[in-house]
Amino acid sequence: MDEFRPTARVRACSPIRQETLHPVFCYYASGEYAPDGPFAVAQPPRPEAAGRFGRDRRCPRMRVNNQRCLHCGACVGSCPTNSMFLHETAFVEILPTCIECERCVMICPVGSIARVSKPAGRPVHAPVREVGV
Amino acid sequence: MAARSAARGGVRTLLIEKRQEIGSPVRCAEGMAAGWLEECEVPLDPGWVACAPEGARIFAPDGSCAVVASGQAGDEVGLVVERTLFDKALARLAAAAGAEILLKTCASGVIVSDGTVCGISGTSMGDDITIRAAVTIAADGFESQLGRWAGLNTGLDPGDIISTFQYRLCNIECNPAYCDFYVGSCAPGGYIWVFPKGPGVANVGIGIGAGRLSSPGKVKDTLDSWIAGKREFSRGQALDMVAGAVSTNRPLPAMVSSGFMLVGDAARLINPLTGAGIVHACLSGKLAGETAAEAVRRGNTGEQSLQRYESAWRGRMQKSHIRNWKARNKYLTLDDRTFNQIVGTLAEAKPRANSLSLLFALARKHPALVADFVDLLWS
Repeated sequence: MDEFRPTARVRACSPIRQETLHPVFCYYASGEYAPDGPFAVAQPPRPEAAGRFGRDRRCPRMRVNNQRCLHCGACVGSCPTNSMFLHETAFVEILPTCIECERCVMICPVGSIARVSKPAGRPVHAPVREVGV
Repeated sequence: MAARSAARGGVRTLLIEKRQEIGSPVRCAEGMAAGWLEECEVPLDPGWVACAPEGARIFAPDGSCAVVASGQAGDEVGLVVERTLFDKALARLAAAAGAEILLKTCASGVIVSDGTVCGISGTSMGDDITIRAAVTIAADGFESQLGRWAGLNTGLDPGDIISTFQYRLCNIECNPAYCDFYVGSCAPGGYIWVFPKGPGVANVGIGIGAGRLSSPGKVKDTLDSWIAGKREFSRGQALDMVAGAVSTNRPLPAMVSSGFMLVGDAARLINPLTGAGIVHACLSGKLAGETAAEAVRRGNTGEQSLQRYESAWRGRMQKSHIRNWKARNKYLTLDDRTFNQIVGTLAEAKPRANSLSLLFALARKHPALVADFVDLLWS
């Protein structure tokens, strides 16, 4: 294993994520290699990064209604091309590697995913339901 | 469980949780067996037990019912737990063994050096972070991506996915003595469950096979319609909503690579016939943690060194996993009339509350149902 230098850029396995990494100190989490000391000290993300992967790196034709989504991860685990990412149960991101098979559209238990040409799930601004009290 | 076992093995162990709280949100029906707790040295704590049913009831489409008693070793029902508390209890055991815990820390990639996984990259409290480790154990559930990033094939066919949705309903009529299962066309490719959690409170949920989903949101819509038709739920109100998916595939081709192991739902170890996963997750986590600790102590965390975990798991569970997978494939072909006959047979036979006993009970009167895997019943 290469010894880590604080100024070196860490290269991840997935090419999609390489450019989002920043010079960081490493925390060695195994018994044999662990030094004493604090956890890794991370640098703040670059200000131009919008979202985890940047706006220009999202699939333009699939949308998630994040107000309807329950952030359960069913779509992420079912995606045949591993093109989805659930940000800490906050919102789902669909990457450009999406092949638009629409498996996620059917598997989502609450119907929160759709193509851009169709409303994303049920419309957020649907006619207000009358509820009698 | 993996963190606890690794820490007990004397190696420095870090447990990361992508949320700010362990155990929340819940993505589980919260029903599990009790017999494995002793094997994993997990003390039974009434604090995380919501209900301890006597057994299970299986309802046929025609309304007939078979009662299956539990309370014996090897049974697959027995407790309904509060996962928000149960998971924290397991984390406390890990911390007591010496594991360190990082919250709001999410992996978004693995680090590979010379073909060996040697850690993860991700974010912690919003800042980028890199964590290097001699062994990485992925316990990231159904949505797991670590395995795929590490080069292991954990993909699923649509026929091996069940989409699920659940309410915790209060103000309902439910019997705390039984976990109820409704089979048939009410839940194509799956079933509806009612797991009591206390007086007038129950987890009411549905699983539908992905191949049977014809429109977006059908899972929730189907459950809503079913609940609306049940008199005993007419005054029910929801306290929370839970959604998720369950894998029902045959065993993965590989669960281990150099420096890396998959456990639990991430390793697709869920029982394909029942959807139960808590027990398999904890047992596999314990085994993986022990293997990781031994490998780190020996200074050899290559694939062959970690294979001990996979070999042990397959030796113990592979046959039953394949048997249950074949049984599920047969389950997918059954119509309501056949379900009525099956429940009638179970009502007479009164089997124990586990998959094997149920299949044995069916083998005598319905041999065609088990013909595809009859050899696995007796192995």
